[in-house]
Amino acid sequence: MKKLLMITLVFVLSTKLHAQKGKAVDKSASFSAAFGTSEFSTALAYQHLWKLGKKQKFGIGAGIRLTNYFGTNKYYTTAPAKLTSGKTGPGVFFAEDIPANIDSVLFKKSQANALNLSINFDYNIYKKISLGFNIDAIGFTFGGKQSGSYLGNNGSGVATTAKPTTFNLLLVSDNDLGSLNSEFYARYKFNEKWGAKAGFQFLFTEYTTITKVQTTPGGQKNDRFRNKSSAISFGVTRQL
Amino acid sequence: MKSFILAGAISTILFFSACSKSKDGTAAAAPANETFNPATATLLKQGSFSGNMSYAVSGSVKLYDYQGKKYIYFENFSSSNGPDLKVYIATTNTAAQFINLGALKGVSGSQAYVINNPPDFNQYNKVLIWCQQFSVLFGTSTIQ
Repeated sequence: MKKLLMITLVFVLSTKLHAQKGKAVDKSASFSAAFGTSEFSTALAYQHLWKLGKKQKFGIGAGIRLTNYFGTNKYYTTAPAKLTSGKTGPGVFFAEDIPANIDSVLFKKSQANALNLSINFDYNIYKKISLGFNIDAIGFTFGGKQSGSYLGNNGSGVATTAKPTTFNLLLVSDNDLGSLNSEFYARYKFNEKWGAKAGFQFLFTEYTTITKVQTTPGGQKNDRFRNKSSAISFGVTRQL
Repeated sequence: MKSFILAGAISTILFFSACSKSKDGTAAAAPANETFNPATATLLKQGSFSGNMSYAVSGSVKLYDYQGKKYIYFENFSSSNGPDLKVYIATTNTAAQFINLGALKGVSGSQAYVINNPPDFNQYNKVLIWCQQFSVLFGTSTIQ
């Protein structure tokens, strides 16, 4: 993880130096909304891109994003990678799930607000059209307590309450902590200032129950449950 | 080239959105292949269903022991239909603590549910017809 952060930092700094020669910095803000099944979310974001290359078509940078998520009747499943796959570290990405360890909490309502720093990429395919990808890296989440039902694998269940997991951190797959948003988009610039974008959003939201409601067959206890939602997003962008 | 890229982007979006659809099923009209025979089992407790709010649920519910296994058995059962209906045995009508016996096999007719991990039936003395997806009680019976 340290190596990854170091490489990213060096890469961003070096690209910044290179970009400063061309004075090519792209700063923009955006507001988007995403709609899924019984859920929607909004995202207010700022991104600062350093443009690379002779034609400065490729941009890499960082941003900050506030994501507000609203869901109804959503299942949140066991979150920690060590339970879902029995592994931690990068290997979790290729590991099979362990169904016996994966329980769920069903929330009648879920609402989480995540403020995260993001990693951003953008590529201008035409003068007015660009494709981009961004992903939250670190931040925190706030939101109210929600009541739900814990549903165990063995059929047992109990009413519980939970609140959004406070700390967010991008790692690998189920190793992630908290609520993290990511987006693949296409952006069209109407003019120098305004543009529109449409894309696909993949959002993790996570709740921590007030007690460790889950006990796996192996005796491990758990209070973290995650929902993975995918949705189409639409938004407006403004150059700053 | 522009239209090709746009078509690609739209296809990608449609592909991923299709993956997010959920499956909400209602119960069958009647259970199929019910094999449990209450005449060969020992009756332990029983009660009668009543509906909650506007939902109509009726019939009797009986707790049987058959060769050491516990069964919940519905007789002359009838229920309003709905999405994701389950049979719970619970401590309260709000499903504060419960055991999910599985999906409701049918909205009418006799049907049996095996209880793999029998709880203390003095505490778990409610049988609920419960819409899990929307956390709504359709009907309940106290067995005693």
